[in-house]
Order: sequence, then C-alpha cells, then structure tokens
Amino acid sequence: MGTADRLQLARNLVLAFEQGSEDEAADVLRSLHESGSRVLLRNVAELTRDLHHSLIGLSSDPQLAEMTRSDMPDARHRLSYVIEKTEASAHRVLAAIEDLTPIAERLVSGATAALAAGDMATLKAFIDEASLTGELMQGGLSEILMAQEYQDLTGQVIRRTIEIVAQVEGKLLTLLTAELPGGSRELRPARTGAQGPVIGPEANSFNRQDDVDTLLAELGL
Amino acid sequence: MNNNIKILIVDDFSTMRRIIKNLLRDLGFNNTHEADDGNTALPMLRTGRFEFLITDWNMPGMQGIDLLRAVRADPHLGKLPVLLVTAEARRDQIVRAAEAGVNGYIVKPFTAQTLKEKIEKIFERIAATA
Repeated sequence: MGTADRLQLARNLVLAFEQGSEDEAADVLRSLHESGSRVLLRNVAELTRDLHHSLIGLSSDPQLAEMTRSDMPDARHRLSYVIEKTEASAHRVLAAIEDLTPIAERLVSGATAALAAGDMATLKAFIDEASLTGELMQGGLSEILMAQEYQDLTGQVIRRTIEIVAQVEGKLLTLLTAELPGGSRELRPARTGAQGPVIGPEANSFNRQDDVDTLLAELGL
Repeated sequence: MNNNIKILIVDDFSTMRRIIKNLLRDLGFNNTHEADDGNTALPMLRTGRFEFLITDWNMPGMQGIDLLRAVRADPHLGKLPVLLVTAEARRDQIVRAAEAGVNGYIVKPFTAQTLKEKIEKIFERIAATA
C-alpha cells in the first residue's frame, strides 16, 4: 500500500467520523493498521534476507576463507616465534650473568688478597689477572647487548599479528552489521614491501648472512 | 679509517638503535646520531653533514629502501655510503637494495663481528675507488 492509498484511507476516516459512521471508521482504522503491520513485516523479511545473504556471502568469502586457512595459523606461528625468541634472549642474558658473576667475585677476592699480601709480586699477578678479567667482562657485556635484538625482531612480528587480528575483527564486524554485499568490502593490503623477519623455512629467503653475502657478491657488491 | 666520521643510525626500534650505537662505540665510532624513520632521517642527512648511514628497512613512515633511493637521488647526498641492517631477507629485496645502490646489507639477527667486517669493507672499497 502506497502513500496515496494511505492518504485516501485517512480522508475516508475523517469523513466517516464527520458523518458519525462508527462502523465505517472502525473498518478504515483496521485497514490502516494492517497496512502498517505489512510494512513492518516487509522490513523484517528484508532484514532476514539480507542477513541470510550475508551469512552465505561470508561462508563463501575468499578473503575470510584465506584468513581462516592461512592467516590465523600464520598468527599462531608468529606468536610462537615471539615466545621462542624472547625465551632464547632471556637465557642468553642469564647465561652471561652466570658466567660473569664468579669472575667478578674472583676479582673482588683477588684484590682483597693482594692488598693483604702487600708484596709487589702478588700485586703484579693480580693486576695481570684483572686485565684478563676485564676482557672477559667486556665479552659478557657485548653478549648481553646483542641479546636485546629480540625486541626489534619480535616487535615487527607482533605488529604483523595485530594487523591480522584487526582484519579478522573487521570481518566479524561486517557479519554483525550484516552489510557485506556490494562494494563495502575492504581489500586486504597486498603482501608486498617490508614483511619483517623470516620465520621458519621460506623459499627465496636467507636466514644467514653468508647466503646474503654470496648473493651480494653475484650482484657486484 | 677515520673513527670520528659522523654516522646516522635509522631504526624505528630504539633498542636496535642502542645496540648498533653501542657496537659502533666498541668499534671506536663515537660520533653517532639517531633517527626513527626515513622521514626524520632525510632532513638530518641534508643539513647534518653525515658521512655514513646505517638504516633499517621495515619502518613506519618512510622505509629504508625509500630513504636509500632518496639519498641516491639527492645531488648532495648521492655518494653517501649506506648500510642496510634489516630483517628483510628475501632474494628480491636484496636485489632491489643492490639496484638502488646500497653499499652493504646485513640481515638481522647479526653479530658484532659482521657489523665490523661490513663497515670495514665499505670503507676499503671507498678508499680503493677514491
């Protein structure tokens, strides 16, 4: 029923009241009410159909299928890499500390003993020993320094994982708002450019500086 | 090699910048400065009379490869030695960096020894062609 029809019904209603025809007015009111219900029903039907299409669309959506098949396991894989990398780094630092602690203790006890002995020969022996100790400590400190590289590498990996989670979140939001069809679909960013550290075996990538150097030499560098 | 050369370290992770800065200090290079991506690095390079650039590849804002290209395209910076230190280790990426005119390429994770060797090699080549 269109606007013109409903307007006509409204006129009929006014006319019926003016003429004092209660039965006629009741009929018109019933017609108007039914027309409103039909609009509501039609809206519900449209919403249901849209939702249905959206669900079908989602299940056959190649992007979502790709995310489920590839990106989610990829995200898990990346997070495992973060655990491995941070754990290895923590062990590297702890090992360096465990190595350095007795060396530092020997330096302190050696100094005390040499001072107590007071003769030049003992002092000279201690100073020679202290020089070696200093070198060992420099080595240990370098080791602790290099162990901090995990933060950069894992940071890049976590960033990429956040991107994946954001994409899945976007898809789920689309499902909730049931607005999938048409051009509203966002394209996933293409996998080009910088991608962060290579995780696990991957074709055409190098994990070792030697391989990189070989390629660079081929390229004249 | 002149140990007092002015070096710019570009990496979005401050921890990596500190690591490289400390390694360079151990190698005797004390005149180091830092930037967190290509966009902040480029103006520094244009006005700061830097003699060596060490940059990461993967950074928000301007990436290392684009910084390298911008440096090579700049008439005043064109010959600046550039060392890429990056986790990007795919064959096509290394080829792209070489084509863009990089002087050295180190993949993360790397060792202090590797950094030392690459820097020495770059300056040896520069000295040989000078």
